[in-house]
Amino acid sequence: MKTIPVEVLKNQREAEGIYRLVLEPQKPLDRLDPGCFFMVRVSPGSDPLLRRPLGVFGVSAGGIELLYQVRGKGTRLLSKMRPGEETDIIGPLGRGWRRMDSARHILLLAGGVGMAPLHDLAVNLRDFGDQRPVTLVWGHRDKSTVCCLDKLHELDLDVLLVTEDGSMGLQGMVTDHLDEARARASGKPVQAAACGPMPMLKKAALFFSGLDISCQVSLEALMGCGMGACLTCVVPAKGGGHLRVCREGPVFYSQEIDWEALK
Amino acid sequence: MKSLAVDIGGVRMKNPVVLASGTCGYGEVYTDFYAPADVGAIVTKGISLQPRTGNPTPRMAETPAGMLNSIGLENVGLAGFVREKLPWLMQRRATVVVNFFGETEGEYIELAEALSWHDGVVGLEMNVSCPNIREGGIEFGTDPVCLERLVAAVRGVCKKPLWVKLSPNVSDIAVLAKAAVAGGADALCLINTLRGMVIDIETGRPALGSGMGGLSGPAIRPVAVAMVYQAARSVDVPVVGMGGISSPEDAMQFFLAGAKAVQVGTGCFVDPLLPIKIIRHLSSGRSFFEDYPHL
Repeated sequence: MKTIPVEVLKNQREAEGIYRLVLEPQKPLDRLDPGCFFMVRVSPGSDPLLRRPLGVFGVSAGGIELLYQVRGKGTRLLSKMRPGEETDIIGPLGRGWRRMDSARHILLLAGGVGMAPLHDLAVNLRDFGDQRPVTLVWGHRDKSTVCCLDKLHELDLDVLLVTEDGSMGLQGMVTDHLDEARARASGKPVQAAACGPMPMLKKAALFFSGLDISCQVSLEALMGCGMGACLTCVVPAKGGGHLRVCREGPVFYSQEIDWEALK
Repeated sequence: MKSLAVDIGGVRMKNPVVLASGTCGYGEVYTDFYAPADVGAIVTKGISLQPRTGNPTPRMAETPAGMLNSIGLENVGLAGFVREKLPWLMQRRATVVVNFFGETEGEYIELAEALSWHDGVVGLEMNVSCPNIREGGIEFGTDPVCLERLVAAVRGVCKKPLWVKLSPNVSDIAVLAKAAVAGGADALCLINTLRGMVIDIETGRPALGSGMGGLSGPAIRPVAVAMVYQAARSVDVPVVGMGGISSPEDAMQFFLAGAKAVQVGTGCFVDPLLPIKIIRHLSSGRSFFEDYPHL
């Protein structure tokens, strides 16, 4: 990890409250494994003080792409950044997705902007010539936040869109359609990767562990530093103690987490 | 290059910039940015006799120009620190000051005695002020009689330089500073975090899982500078200043207020190179040592 000055190349509104930020690093990047994140400085002053942890959506020739949703003061400021503006980022941070060598079919489960690290994973698979079938279940509250579908089609993914109100795709939550996702693999060995709200991840973890299917989860957490110092982002570990989302994660095997102790 | 070496109550450091307890883990966090031996000293996460898992989440809430935290003194415990963390720091020739705390006078004494036996520990920093734990340090740090007695008891068994980290949650910092020195403190460090609370108006409940927390960041800097100024004028041991330092210029205010060294913490979350920038500032060109010869 290091601090990297960046120039904003694009800060594209992709859907209601959802932006894709493309940053051109002004220094060479360290090796970037899929599923990592960066701490992004959103203000040159001290309010808000802390950087925002943003997952990598993908890396293109132009730069690092980050997908974020405007949720508070920091992300609102970020959404106002214009091409040509400069800021800096710390990273790459965290431990990303582990290889899924034994799978013949891969299931990706995304909730909202939880899509970012899964898109990063899918891009990485295809970039390395991995042609295994991939089914993506992507859940939204309603159709207003659905975006980037063209990018998903480029990756040759089998996409199941899900909205809670049924305004687009299937109706319900991602976790209402796990059996169907599983069925898409037609009995072949599968592995799953999920990123989204905690209740979704917990349900997915229980579902797949019941089937003895390996499931990795990328957790989202409030962070102070992103580097393992402040212990803000801890989650309870199976067998006791804590795991830092920023350092031991953000990607974990679902069985590393004590889901019962998690609030 | 001019020497920036300082002696803080018997802790000899190559420069006066120290990483604050609770913001740098056990010294391993910032190794991608600089070596642990590059800073004057590293003050470890607070150590207790037994490991602690800390407070429930959420443990942090952002505030204007600051952050509120209630980590709850999560740490690996004395044995875990000595076995797993200290050897690593010693290999890297870091100047290690161990922050420690107890819930009783007996625990403080036991810790100070045990930590005194380790060559890799250069000094101890007593936490008498962390506002997060109901039965923790706060009582010791806010009552001068209690504080003096505790420091004296620890001083009696401690074979290392003893720093005392003061709480700002008091009405007169000078009284507490004098009490700590009367008890035998070799140096004073201040300020610890200010007690604060954020209430989530959606839920009507505190934003932090444990209710109140400790405020840090630029928001508290003027409070810290004032307290360092008062403390430095009321005792004759070195004062280590901290609280909201985010730039070399911020650090200068603390030196001018009377601090012989500074600690940085929350500022490193935003800019991990902050301590190095302060060191470079001090060693470049006309430094405060020339501009302010009375220091």
